Amino acid sequence: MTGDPDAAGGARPEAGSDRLEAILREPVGPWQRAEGPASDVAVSSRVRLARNVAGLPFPPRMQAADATALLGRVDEARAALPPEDGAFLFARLDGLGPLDRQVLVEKHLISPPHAHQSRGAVLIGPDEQVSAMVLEEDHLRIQALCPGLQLPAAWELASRLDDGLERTLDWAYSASLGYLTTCPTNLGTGLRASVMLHLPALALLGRIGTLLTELAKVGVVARGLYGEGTAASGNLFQVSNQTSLGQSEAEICAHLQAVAKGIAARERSSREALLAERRTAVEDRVWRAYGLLTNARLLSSEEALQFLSDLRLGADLHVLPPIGADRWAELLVLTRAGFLQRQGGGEAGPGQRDARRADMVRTRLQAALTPAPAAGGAAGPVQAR
Amino acid sequence: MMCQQCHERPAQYHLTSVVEGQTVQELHLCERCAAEREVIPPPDAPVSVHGWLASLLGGLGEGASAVAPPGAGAPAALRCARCGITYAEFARTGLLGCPDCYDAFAKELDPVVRRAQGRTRHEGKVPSRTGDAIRRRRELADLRRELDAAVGQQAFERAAALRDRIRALEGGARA
Repeated sequence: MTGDPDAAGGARPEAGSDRLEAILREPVGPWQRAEGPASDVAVSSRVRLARNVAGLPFPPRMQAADATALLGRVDEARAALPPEDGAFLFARLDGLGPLDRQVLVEKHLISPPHAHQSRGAVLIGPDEQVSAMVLEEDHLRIQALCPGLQLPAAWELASRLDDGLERTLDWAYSASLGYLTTCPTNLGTGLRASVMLHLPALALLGRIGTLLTELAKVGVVARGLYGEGTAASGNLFQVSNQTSLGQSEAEICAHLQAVAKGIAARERSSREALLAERRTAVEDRVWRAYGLLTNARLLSSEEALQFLSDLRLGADLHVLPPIGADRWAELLVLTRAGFLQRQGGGEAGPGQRDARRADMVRTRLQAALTPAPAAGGAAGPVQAR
Repeated sequence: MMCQQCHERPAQYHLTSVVEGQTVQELHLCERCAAEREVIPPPDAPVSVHGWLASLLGGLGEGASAVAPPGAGAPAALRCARCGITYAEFARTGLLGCPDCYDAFAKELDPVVRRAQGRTRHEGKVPSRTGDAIRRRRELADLRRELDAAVGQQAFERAAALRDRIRALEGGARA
């Protein structure tokens, strides 16, 4: 984990605020710039570990003084991390405005409930790849993100921060029950592995319902874009393990990785079936999305997600020129309400946001999908097949 | 996203219904409208962790009686001496008060954990700094299982080697 210029400067506090500003300004983290395996279907892989400090009440029962003391101890543990792991930024949520917190949610660095937790904090590592929420449902929720489908790699990264923090902090742990968590559903490994999947063809063919039923049978649950209790928009589904006790972390990750691989294979064959059986309808759908995204003057958040999904499908099916996984991921975040407002210089009503969103998408897509003059033979997006 | 019913408050509940295993329909509601539609219990109603655990297990199809609280016989006033939380409070919120609650409510939690997790014994990571004793105990348990198997297969040479390793570990000679 090298290559972050801010990390080289160490943990100086003045460097911290610049770094936080850079994190809040950029729609995607540096880790997302790399292309991962199976990225035509798997957007990203995430592993999170729930950890609690021994001898303290769990967050819901914590008094303010205990909570403040814990923040201090976590910050000390951060300072004692092995230098080769890079510099971690520590930011208290009470120092961040509502839009800043919303942007962190939209970048998947904190969860929606954590954004409302004023006494909480967040640890963010180099490249934004490894991070930890402090005082969410558990004292710490460590997470690691990797592009594409690579849960074992995400597990290794999360485990490494766990080891580093454990040099200073004693975890609440029992030999028989494992890591002790606020809610018994996270007990044991404290691990929730998840893969964000883009499943437009399965959705178009009406096969999502069957898929979800089948997943439940193999201990895998599907959630929406921002985790538990959120909607599945833009054909994006987060699949994760249901249980955390009785299997090793590697086994849990390997199982979910295999299941996600199976889903990806089904999505690919559905895409082929779509092209073979309904080529014109699919092309029409993709080009309509392209037309709306590059011409609309008002674009709602839901529309943006839906059309961006269609656009990506078009690029993956070679109906449109390639858009690039990182560019697409960038557009997904750029069109979110928090990001749009923060970028646009402050809070805005829904109507104003829809106008800003349309402007931003139009400009970005025209730049992204118009072939450079020197590109030669590459087919332009406006040339019909 | 705004609530699709009142168009006034932000939507906090996102419902996805699967009709005949095919259509996925979505509805986004704020807390008040969700409570009005009885999608969620009214704000002051107790939340049943057992119902929630049962639905988590996908056990709804097996009849509502499957939702019967596993710790039903537990005295509601059972209290964790460390943090003061009662079993009844846990049953309402699904959240424990502190690590000691796992000991205080051990008997009551066992069936809850079994239903939520399917298993009751941790097989994963051991903390590296504090976990030496645990690691040794786990290794011993593994070796004893192997020893039983070797004896069962009458592989006595292997059994003898395993026995020596167990003795060494028990004596703490080698970790």
